[in-house]
Amino acid sequence: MRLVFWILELKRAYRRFPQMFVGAIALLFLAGAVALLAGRALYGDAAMGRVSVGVALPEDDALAKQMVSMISSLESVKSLCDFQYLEQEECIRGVREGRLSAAMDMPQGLIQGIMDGSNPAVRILLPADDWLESRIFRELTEAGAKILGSSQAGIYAGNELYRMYGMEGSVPEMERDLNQIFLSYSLPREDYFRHLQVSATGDVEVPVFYGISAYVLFLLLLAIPVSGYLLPLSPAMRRKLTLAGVGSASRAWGRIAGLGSLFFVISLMTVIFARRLPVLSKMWEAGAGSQSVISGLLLLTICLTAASLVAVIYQMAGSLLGGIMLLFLTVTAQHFLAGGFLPAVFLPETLRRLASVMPSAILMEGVQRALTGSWSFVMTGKLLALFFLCFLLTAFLERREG
Amino acid sequence: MLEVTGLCKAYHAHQVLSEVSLAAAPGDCVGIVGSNGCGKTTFLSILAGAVRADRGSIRFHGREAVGHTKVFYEEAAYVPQENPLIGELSVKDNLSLWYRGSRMRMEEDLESGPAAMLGIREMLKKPVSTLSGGMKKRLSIACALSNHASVLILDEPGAALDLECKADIRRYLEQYKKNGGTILLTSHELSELSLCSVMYVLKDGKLRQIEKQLGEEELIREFRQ
Repeated sequence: MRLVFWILELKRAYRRFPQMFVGAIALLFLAGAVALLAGRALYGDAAMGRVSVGVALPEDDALAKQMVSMISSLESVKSLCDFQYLEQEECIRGVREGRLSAAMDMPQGLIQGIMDGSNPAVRILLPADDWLESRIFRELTEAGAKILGSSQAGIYAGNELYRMYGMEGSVPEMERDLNQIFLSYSLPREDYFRHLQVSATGDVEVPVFYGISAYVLFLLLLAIPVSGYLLPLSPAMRRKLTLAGVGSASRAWGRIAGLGSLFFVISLMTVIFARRLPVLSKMWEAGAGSQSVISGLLLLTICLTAASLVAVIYQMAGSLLGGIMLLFLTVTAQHFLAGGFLPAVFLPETLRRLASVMPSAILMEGVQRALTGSWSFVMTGKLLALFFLCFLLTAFLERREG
Repeated sequence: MLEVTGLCKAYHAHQVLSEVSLAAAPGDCVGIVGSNGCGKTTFLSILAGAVRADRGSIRFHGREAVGHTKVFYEEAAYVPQENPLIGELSVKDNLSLWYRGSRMRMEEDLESGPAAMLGIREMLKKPVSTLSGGMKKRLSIACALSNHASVLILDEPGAALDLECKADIRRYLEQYKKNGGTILLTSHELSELSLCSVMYVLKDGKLRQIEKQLGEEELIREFRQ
């Protein structure tokens, strides 16, 4: 009986496939437009939304200018900031008048100070109002200071060690060697970072990040065209099914499996289309293309997890209109909190803490892994935990309904 | 043979059934009447095993059913007021969902069993959502009787059906009785109640036997007593 019920639930789901397909096309355009706009707002060529930084350099300090130029060419900085070389007064005025999101006042002898440990402070000017761009720049400078601090700590540790063993005389030699060794390691690592870009969007390129975000949003909202399928069964039907041995858990699983398999078919169709895009083709060949079984299983898990989340939302709502509204509100709100619209690093600290536990964040991480073919125990655990939580909640609500 | 003894059911402080007992032999048609909300549906749901009783015993041919879901499942065919059907699926899909037997047996039933008598074969491929109320009711009865149970429990079978459908269902129920089946039904319609060989009125949680073939006025008086 249970098996027949599950088969019929699948059949019932597939009867809704044409509706879902048409809905998917409409949503693809919508999600694509949203992703494009978000990407442009954050990373587009126009200055709007980018971080304009004024840099005041000391006169005749070629080394400082070289260092700033090196920093500005780093991908994590380049993708967000536009550096302008200005006089100190002009920098202060620019920040006050809101033309600049931040300014850096470089002290005299900065490089020498870093090398000898005196560390003259770089003055960072931020506007009184807490703009998003200013927050982003503050994050970047804090991260930079941490990196500099840790490399200096390495050198100081070497100095300390030499002094402890009475080898003060060899310190300059040690510093020279340490510099050489450090460079020999850091240069290949620079090459590594050229392949694996580090930016505000994590380990993937900006268009891929927004593609993944749009896909997750698309997947969750794809349930709207098939809302009728997700409505709770009538009390008479539920009672008779219970009597026939099809309990609340079996009923919940039937609904989730039906919707999940629809999601999976639509996802496969999307993958077939998306893998032809130049931005994905290289990643596809290196990842999912060579690990197709792992990626396929991950995609199936993602679809079932998304279906269980949608099922619990509709179960809570209890009606067609309520379900559609609750799904839309919940999905968009948690997608924002998960950093799906704006990467989580740009969100305020309190919201950022929530980001990692948002369903969209878990699903997005899963999609990224599926795309790169890199299975992870922790990520799979998170996906399964989310799935079981939603499944059990759906079954509980189904049972409570009678 | 159906024997119900000392059945009790309460929803919070509201006592719906209090020490209810009845017996029905093969070929009997037992009618349960009462005003709206008196607990008829709860009583039938308990007899079908869909709702659990607080106390009491239900025996089908001597087999205790309370606490044994399998006995209800095998011995009772329950047709609730609301049709337990999936609208998006075809008549055949719905029949196969509830059918308790092999595919071959289902085909036999469609040829000569309850499903055939109820005219299910002609509408097998139709989606349930396109069926009329009467067709849905016939399908519900056919689905319920797929276990060839000897006790048929019907909750207001004729509600919202046209005269022709009511007549079809009535003909089938008469045949079912003749074949030795036991029917328990609730209804507010005298034509349906005229099928009954025994009549009970349910009031304040108590079941009281009344005369059969009573007229409208007399029945209303019984409800008020």
